[in-house]
Amino acid sequence: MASKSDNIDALVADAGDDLLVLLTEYIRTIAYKSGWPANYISNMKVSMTDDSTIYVDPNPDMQEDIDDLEYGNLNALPNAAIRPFILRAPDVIEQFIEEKILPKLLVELGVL
Amino acid sequence: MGNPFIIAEDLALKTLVQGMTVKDDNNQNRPVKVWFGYPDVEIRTQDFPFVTIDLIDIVPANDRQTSGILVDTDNRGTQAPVAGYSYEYRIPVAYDLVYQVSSYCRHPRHDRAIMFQLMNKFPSKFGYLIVPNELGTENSSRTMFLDGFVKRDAVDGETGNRRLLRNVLSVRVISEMTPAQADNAIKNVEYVHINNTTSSIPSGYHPVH
Repeated sequence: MASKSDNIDALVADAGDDLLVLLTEYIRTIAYKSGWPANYISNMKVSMTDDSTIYVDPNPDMQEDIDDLEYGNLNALPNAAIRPFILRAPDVIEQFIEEKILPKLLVELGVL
Repeated sequence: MGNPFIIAEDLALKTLVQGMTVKDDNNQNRPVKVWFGYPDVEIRTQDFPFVTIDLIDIVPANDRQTSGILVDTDNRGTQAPVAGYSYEYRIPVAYDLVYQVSSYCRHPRHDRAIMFQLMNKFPSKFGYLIVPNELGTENSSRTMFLDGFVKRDAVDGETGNRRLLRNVLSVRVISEMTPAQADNAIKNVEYVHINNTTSSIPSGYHPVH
């Protein structure tokens, strides 16, 4: 039988995966609204390092083009998507923790 | 009269950035022009170095939003004060305005000189932007953050195989929009015209008398 600690670890791990899916959808939505071409949008994703740092993780083959979209170049104005995502992501994460993680965690801990 | 939300910050930022100069063998006092967005190709070919300012995002600043009613005598600097008269209004809506400030030049020495000057104008989290109120009677000092710096040099393709030295700064300016500005953006309904022609009324409906 799994211990309470195991259950909490599993809950947090599952929540981490769900959060990355949510954030990936979110950055793709912003990129779409910023007018990015579809092939670049679908190659944007949000990942997490082993020490739980969340980062924007585009397809490396497209890095240069994505930087041009984000910052503009001599021929095109900037269509920022990554920076707006970074500014807004904390609110999304906060809401996710509040609605999706905290209730389950409180149940698991026996508070609710 | 001064300028309202966003336009005031745009102009204040341009005022802050413009006035830079760089040196080289041909010109000891070469001005660095400042543009909103990109200048036309012909202009930018002739006028390196230059700086561009782009508003790239407007973010609701929920973390510093409060609510309530304020009272003053000049409606937050938008109306000339009249003795014995005061204004009452809701607390403004907090926003962060996010700008991209980009510098473009061909000469490495220009690049470093511009970089130095920009870093002095945007000193990390210690920057501030002086923004006049709409009456032009007072200024506010807005906290301004340098959120990011990226080197985006290029040597081929877009530059016609000439080197292009480019710096990109992401700058966040705190701001707020008064409810009055939001209200002014909505047109009031002044007339309601009722069509009293009684033809073409769908079955089941009756004309208004």
